[in-house]
Parts: sequence; C-alpha cells; structure tokens
Amino acid sequence: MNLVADFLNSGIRLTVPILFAAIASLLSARAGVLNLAIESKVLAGAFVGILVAAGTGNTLLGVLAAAASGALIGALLALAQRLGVDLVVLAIGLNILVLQLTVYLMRSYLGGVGTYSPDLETIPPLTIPGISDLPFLGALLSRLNWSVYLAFFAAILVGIYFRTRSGRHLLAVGEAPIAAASAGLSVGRTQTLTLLAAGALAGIGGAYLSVGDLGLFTRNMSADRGWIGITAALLALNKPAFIVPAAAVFGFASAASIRLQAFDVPASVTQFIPQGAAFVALVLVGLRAKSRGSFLRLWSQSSRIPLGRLREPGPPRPEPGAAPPPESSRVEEPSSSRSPRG
Amino acid sequence: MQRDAIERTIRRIGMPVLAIVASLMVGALLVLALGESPVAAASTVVQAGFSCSPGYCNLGGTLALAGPIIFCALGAVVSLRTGLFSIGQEGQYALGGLAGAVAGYAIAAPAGVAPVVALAASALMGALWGVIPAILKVFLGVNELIITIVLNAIAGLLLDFLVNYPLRAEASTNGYTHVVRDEARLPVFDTSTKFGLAFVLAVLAVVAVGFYLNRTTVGYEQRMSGEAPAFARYSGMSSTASVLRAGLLGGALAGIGGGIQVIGTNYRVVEGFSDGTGFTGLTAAILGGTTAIGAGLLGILYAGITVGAVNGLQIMLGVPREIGSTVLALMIVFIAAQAPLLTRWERFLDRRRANRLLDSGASLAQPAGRGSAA
Repeated sequence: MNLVADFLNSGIRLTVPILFAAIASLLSARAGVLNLAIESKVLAGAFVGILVAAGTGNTLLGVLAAAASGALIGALLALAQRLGVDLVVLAIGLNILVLQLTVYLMRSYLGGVGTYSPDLETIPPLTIPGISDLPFLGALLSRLNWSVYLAFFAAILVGIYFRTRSGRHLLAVGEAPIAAASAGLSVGRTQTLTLLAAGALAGIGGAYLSVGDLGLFTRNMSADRGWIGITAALLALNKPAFIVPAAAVFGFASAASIRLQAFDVPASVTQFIPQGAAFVALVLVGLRAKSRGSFLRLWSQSSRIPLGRLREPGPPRPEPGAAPPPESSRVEEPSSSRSPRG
Repeated sequence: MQRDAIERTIRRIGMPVLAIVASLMVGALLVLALGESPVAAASTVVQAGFSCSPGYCNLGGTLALAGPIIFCALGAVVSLRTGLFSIGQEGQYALGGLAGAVAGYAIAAPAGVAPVVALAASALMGALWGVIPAILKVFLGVNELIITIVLNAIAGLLLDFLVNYPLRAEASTNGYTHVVRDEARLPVFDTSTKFGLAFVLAVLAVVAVGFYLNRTTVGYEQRMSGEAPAFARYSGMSSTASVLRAGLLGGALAGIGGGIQVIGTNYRVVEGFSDGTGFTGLTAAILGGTTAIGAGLLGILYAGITVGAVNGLQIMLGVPREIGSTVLALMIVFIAAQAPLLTRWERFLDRRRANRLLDSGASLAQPAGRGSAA
C-alpha cells in the first residue's frame, strides 16, 4: 500500500514542472503565439530562483524572482512578436543562450563545477493536520510543498479564466486575431500579457526544480521539461480540462520508468509511451482538422500571422477586417508568411 | 538610382554585421567581468580553433567536427528553403548514425564499397525519418515544427533503447554498439584529430546542394514553393512533391551527417549519441541565411569556436568554454531581431522618398521605381 502511495507521490512531484510548462504553452498557444522558448524560461527560473533564494535565505523571494525572470523572457518574446521577429528562430536562440549562459555564470562565479548546491532549506512541505498521520494519504501527500498545489491550482484557474469575459477575449485573439481586432480588442496587449503570465508560470516551474525540490542547480537542469510541457499541452489539445491528465501521463511515465528499471524494463520504453501518445494525438488532430476544414491550419499559422503588418501604414492600407483588395500581392501574403525568413 | 542601390547593399550587409558585433561585445563584457582580456580570449579561440602546427593540428580537429554539423545544416537548408519548417535534424542525425553503425558492422563488403553501403543505410534511415513530418504536413496539415519536436524525442528514446538492448555490444555500465568493420571506416588523413574524408564529403555536399537548389529545375521548384507558394502553385509546380522531396532529401543529408560521424570518427554509437549536433546544424543553417555555402561556412565556424573554446579558453585561460556557445546563441537572437528592424527601416526610407517625390510635384504616372506605389 505504501509502495503505491510512494509511487503516486513521486509521480506527482515529477508532474509539477511539466504541468507548469504545459500551462504556459497552453496559454501562449491559445493566445495565438507559438511559444517554443518555454525550455529557456524553466531553466532561467531554476537558476535565478536558487540564486535569490540562497542570497536572501527566503524561498518565497526565490520563487518570485524565478517568476520575474520567466516573465522577462516572456516580455522579450512579446516585444519580438510586435516587431515581427521570427519567433521560432528567436526561441531556438534563447533556449541555447539560457542553457549556455547559466553554465557559464555558474562555472565563473559559483564554484567552477557542474553543480551549485548552496546551503539552502528547500520549501518546506505542507503538513495538513490530521491527514499527515493517515497511513495512505499521509505518504501520498508527504514532501509536497505549496508550489505543488500551486501548479494544480493554476491549471484549474486557467480553466475558469477561459470562461470569463477576458478569457474569452484571449481565445478570440488566438483564434481570429483580425476579427478580434475589428471588434475592438487589443490583440497586441492581450498577447503581451499572456506571454508575461506564461513566462512567470514556466519560471515558477523551474524554481520548483531548484528551490522547491532539490535545493541545487545543475547544468541543463530543466532537461527538456519545457519541450515535454509543450508536447503535453498538445496532447491535451490545448484544452485546460485535459492539461492535468496530459502532464500527469508524462510525469507518471518518468516515475514508472525509474521504478520499473528494478524489474529490467528499459527506461526508454516507459518514457516512449507518452511521446508516442502525443504523436498519435497530433496525427488524430490532423485527421479531424482535415475533415473539418482548415481549423488547424489557422491555429498552426496563428503565430505567424504578422499583426504588425496589418497596422503598418504601408501604401495599400487594408482596414482590419475589410475584404482584401484583389491584388496579386495580397493573394501571396497569407501563404508567404509560412515561409521561413532569414 | 545607383546611390540607392549602394546604400541598400550597405544596409543589408551592415545590419547583420552590427548584430554580430553586438553579440561579440556582450561576449567581451562577460569575459571582461571575469578579469580576462577579451582580445586575448578571442585570439586564443582563433589560435586553438584554427591554427595548425606539425605536432598537433587544431584546424584538423575543427574540420573533423565540422563535417557532421555541415551535413545537418544542409539538411536544414533543404527543408527550410522548401517551406518545411522541420527541426527534426537531431532525430534524423541520431537514427542515421545508428543505421550506419549497424550496416558498417553487419554487412561484409570490400574496402571501397563498405563505407558507401554504410552511408547509404544512414541516408535511407534519415530520409525515412525525415519524410514522416513532410507526409503529415502535406496530407493531414499537421504542424511540422511541433511534430518534429516529438519525433526528435522519440528518436532519442529509440536510440537509447536499441543501443542498450538489441544492439548492445557487451555488458557494461553504458550501452554501446559493436565497432564498425575496418573496411567500413572512412580514410583519415590525420589520425590524432580524425580529420579525413568525412570533411571532403561535407564540402562536396555543400557544392551539390548549392547546385541542386540554384541550378536545377527541381531545386528551383523547391525554392519557389517555399519562398513564393502562390507563384509556385499558379505556375503549375506541385508543392506536395516539393515538400515530400524536401523531407526525404533533408532527412537523408542529416542522416549521412550521423553516418560520417560514426564511420569517420566514433566507429560505434554510444548511448546519448544524440548530443545536439543536429540542433547545432539547424542553427548554423539559420545563421548562414539558409544557403548551402552559408551552412558550410557557419558549420566550420561553429566547430572552430567549439574546439577553440574547449582547447583554448577553458584550458589556457580558465574561462568556461560555454562562452563560445553563448556568443553564438546571442548571434542567433540578434540576427533574428535585426531582420524586421531592417524591413521597417527600408519601408520608412521608401515612404520618405515617395513623399519627397509627391512634394516636388512629380507625376505619379511616370515609373518612379519602387516608390511608385504611393
């Protein structure tokens, strides 16, 4: 019985950073931004979080600083989006930059080795009076601190938020930016705020790794959790209702891969299951979109719809929402935005 | 008009150069903060990455490292130019390398034929893995960028599983395959750095891909369906065929990259073979302006900075080697950021010139070059 509880406990703890990253990816995607820089936000959050926590001795300040660092990268992305920078290339650059820069700074200033482990108390686990003494639940909920609960709370909150007025606006901006703009919504501001929030969440996910769980920082600590979060959000079809199960599939697969190695089941096989599920989910979404029309095409291009271009005071100025003038140059615009630039 | 053209050329070369200078400046500040001279650091990198003495040829090590990177970069160039935004080079590289290792070990062939067989296996495996996102994109409209993230993860897991279980050579803590046969190894010119035929193949591939994209009909169709899809469609080119071809060719190139790494340098595949070479190739392709020659040059530059930062900075100056990759990542960020700024600047200049023409009372009917649309 305790074995099951221990397994569930480690599964939950492995799910948390993935869940944070997945919520960040979901928010960005629903606001119409393909945000591939989540990996860098998680890693930056882990690094800044433990630095501030070790410096001040306060884990809460560490988590807040991690959120701020993630939000800063989010702000960079938002600025780039407004300028019309190719976000995919920028995100690839940012991911490598944060990975290399954190190791460089750690080697230069924090002892010159591959691991930085300051004298730091990790966030203490929450003890709920009465439950901690129960046999099964006590083991299940042990070693879970407030940031774990925050992850699940954030998932619920996003689900509720999408039903509010401003949440609906966010969805409108993501699905039909031109329509949203012509209805008077500020597309740029909505996307900027969403990217800031997504960055903060991913940063907290990173802080959970360093400040919340292990109390140290290692090279490439995020270890693809940002990418896995993006995949988990896709597996959830970017719907808040499925985000916790989708992230849990990945988290529990990791937990299972560690346990099953004792029975000589390869870790790669266990970890393959969620990735394979994500692949199948993507193909199924493609099949459904194919039969329903071009919804997915719209979604997949939404990040590349250059809203800056609509506001530009260029010579043939089309009013947002107005029918495009039947010129050959206009015909080319939507499809040429798919081509890689640079 | 002549002056305009010159100014435009200066702007278009100047902005990327400015971005590169800016990233070097940030790198210099980081080195300066450690109390080392940035100039000394830079010269150490160049010395350790690109110098060659009779005893030990650093340049050889650089070129040996550059071969696989260049192949992956070429794979990325072919994909990106066709509008297939695949970042799956990492997975194609890993599985291509594994296929090369298996073919090089299992298939007995005479000396001249065995490397060809191994590289053919690599290319085939890479092409098969590379055509998956192309098929899904063309027939189901799946976003190729996202599916290749998943495919990279699956390829890494598949490699780790195969290397640890069915293809494992012997019981040890780390899984690795059998060593490839002697006949299947690529000739090496310099045994200490493993500089050999692999790099020559990479140079030939740069020429071939450049020729293919710029001088052949199919290559032209491929570029057009990436750069001007509407034009390509209306002039009867099949974008479906182009994208599928890009998936096959790009995958084959990245797969050969893995193959030459195995039969040219490592001679076996170790767990964790998928170490980011494919991703490095992708970034080299982007920084190189998605051209074949740019991919080749940037591949060498990447390898040189990596070798120089490891052998020079870290060992001789005590500056962590990550500074090299940090500066390269900064270059990607800054170069990505300068592109739209350049466009805005040119639009601003065009508009100002058009306004001047209007103010001076020039007739709009006369063909006034690019400003005539106003």
